[in-house]
Amino acid sequence: MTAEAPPPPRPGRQAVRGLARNRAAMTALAVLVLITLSCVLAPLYARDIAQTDPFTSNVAGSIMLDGHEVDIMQPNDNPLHLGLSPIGPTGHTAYLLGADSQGRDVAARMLYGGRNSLLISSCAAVLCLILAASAGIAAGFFGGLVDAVLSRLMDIMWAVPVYLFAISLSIVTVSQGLRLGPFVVEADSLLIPIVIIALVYVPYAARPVRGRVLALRQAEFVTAARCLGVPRWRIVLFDILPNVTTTLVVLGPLLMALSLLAESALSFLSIGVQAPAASWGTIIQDGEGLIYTRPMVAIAPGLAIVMVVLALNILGDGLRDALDVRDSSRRSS
Amino acid sequence: MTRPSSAPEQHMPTPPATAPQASASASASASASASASASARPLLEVRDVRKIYHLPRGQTLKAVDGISLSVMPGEVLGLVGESGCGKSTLGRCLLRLTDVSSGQILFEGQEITHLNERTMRPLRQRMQMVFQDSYASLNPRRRIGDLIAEPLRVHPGPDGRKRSRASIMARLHELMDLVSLPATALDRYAHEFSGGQRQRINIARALALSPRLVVADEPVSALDVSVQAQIVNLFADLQDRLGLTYVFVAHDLAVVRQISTRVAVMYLGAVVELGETDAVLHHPAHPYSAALTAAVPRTVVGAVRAAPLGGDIPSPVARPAGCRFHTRCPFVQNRCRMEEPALHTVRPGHSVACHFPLSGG
Repeated sequence: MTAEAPPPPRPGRQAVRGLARNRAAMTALAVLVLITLSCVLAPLYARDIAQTDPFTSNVAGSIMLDGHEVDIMQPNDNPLHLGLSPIGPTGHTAYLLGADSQGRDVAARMLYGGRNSLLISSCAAVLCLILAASAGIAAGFFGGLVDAVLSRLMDIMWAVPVYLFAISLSIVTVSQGLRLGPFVVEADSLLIPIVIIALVYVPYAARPVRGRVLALRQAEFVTAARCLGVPRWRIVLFDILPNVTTTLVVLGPLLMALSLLAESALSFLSIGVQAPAASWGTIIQDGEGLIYTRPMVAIAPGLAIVMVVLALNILGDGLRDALDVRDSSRRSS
Repeated sequence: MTRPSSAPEQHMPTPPATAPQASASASASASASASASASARPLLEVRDVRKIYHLPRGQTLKAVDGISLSVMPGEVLGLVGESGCGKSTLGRCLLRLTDVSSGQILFEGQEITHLNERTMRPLRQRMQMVFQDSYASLNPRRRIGDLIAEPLRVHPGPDGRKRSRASIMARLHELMDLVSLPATALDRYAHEFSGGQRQRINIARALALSPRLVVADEPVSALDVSVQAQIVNLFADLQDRLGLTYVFVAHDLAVVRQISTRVAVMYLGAVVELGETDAVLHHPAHPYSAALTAAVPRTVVGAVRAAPLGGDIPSPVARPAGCRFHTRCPFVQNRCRMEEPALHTVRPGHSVACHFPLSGG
């Protein structure tokens, strides 16, 4: 041992250094930070740049473009000029990406929607990780009956297709909210999609954690702790948990990507984020009816989802390489 | 003397030749047993302990197959045998890290065989273990200081109250001194140390609570030979200074020779020979012990050694009938194939499980 050696390298620090050297992962991180930042600043964009209220209908309104007054809703350009289409991408600060069928600024709604999408997916990922870590550690460490019950429960959950499961749960809660004793969650609360999405992905994340804990339980340092008379809760807290954090850290971005997709799917089906609030999923739904005339309304949020999911996956891979975790098996849903 | 004619004469040292040796070891052990007799009862007693694993397809693996032993305070019992003979399993059973299938384990006269985790906890302050794999037995994500302090944080101090931060810190420095590591090591992680240093850390942790009994499970077999000697010397030194009692598990007699007062030779889950270290090493009564000692570099010039054993240890799942050693014994007789020999005394303090012990007594 070199007594004079400078600061003791903490196990986590090497991983951070490894990640910083990974160009793809750092690019992904930069993209994520950029997107998150612009979504956070959505109110500023709506007020100062686009100068619209993205939550009120503006079907009768008009804007000034290059000195001309242009109606938000314009006659269709089909041969019979039947019906109206919202204005397309203007290339100006106002209605940059055009309007949706209610005459609202799609660009501003994108940013507001991104807030909800990112908030829900990150909260769901964190909640899911907490639940999965608890379940996985309990099942792996205590074994026996605890493991049997938890593992079978997760098998049952995993046997139901994830989206079908989430959709069924959402339909129930969206119609009447959630009442658990004194806790009442309103039907349009963001908590509902967060909890539902976190719940359906628990088996996905709990499995690798359980596997890791099963191996750790046999580790000699756990036996050593038992031999020292360390109570079980201390062993879980100080010996098991720090050694599954790498698994959890790697799972985090992947779970967030999955959650984002699930949230968009639910919102697209009107059982996630409720109007008038927006998410990328609801905006795609808005754009569905305009897909032939104003495809940008659906394409823009779709692209945002693709970019974020891709970035999260690249970041997750980078984390995996940096932390050198081999055991967290990946399953696509 | 019922030695079969096929046995070479050299394997039977004549009683007069052994006399000086025997008396020397007897006097050496006399002091040990004198101090032991003051407290009279053994520190650790093992009565007919069995550990049976049930395998798929109805097979059973008798890892520990009816072992009885006692360890006196202040003595070092060496537990030797090839890998797979059950010595580590026995070591774990002694500390209740593995539940025994049957039999009794008594520590300080108290039966601990069926104590649960909670009732066992106070006793763990007085019995500790040093593991074979010095790296695997240290949590890679905690600092050495935290690892060694863990037992001090978990168990109350001598006044029955939670130890103060300052007293824990003082004890940590004391322990680092004891195992000759710098205090700066406390802020580091296990991967920054060499195998020998890590084993010192393990020893410091095991000694944190000043136990009476330390079970050392092959503590040096994963180390370089040069480091082995240092660690064995450290064990011996600590025993002198702290009055410790060891159960020292090893697969290597050379290591055991340096430190043990008595040696138990294990083969396929059972003790086949038990006696004073010198007696077992120089005048083994069991052919298996003789073969093991043949593998040890001798200090006596011209000493005759048995031929090294051929073949592998039989699978403990399909243990040979009769004497468990008969498949590899150079002196095997028909009786050995039929009848299992019990551990019986050949000399005072020296017992062997063999129908035809090498030195008839």
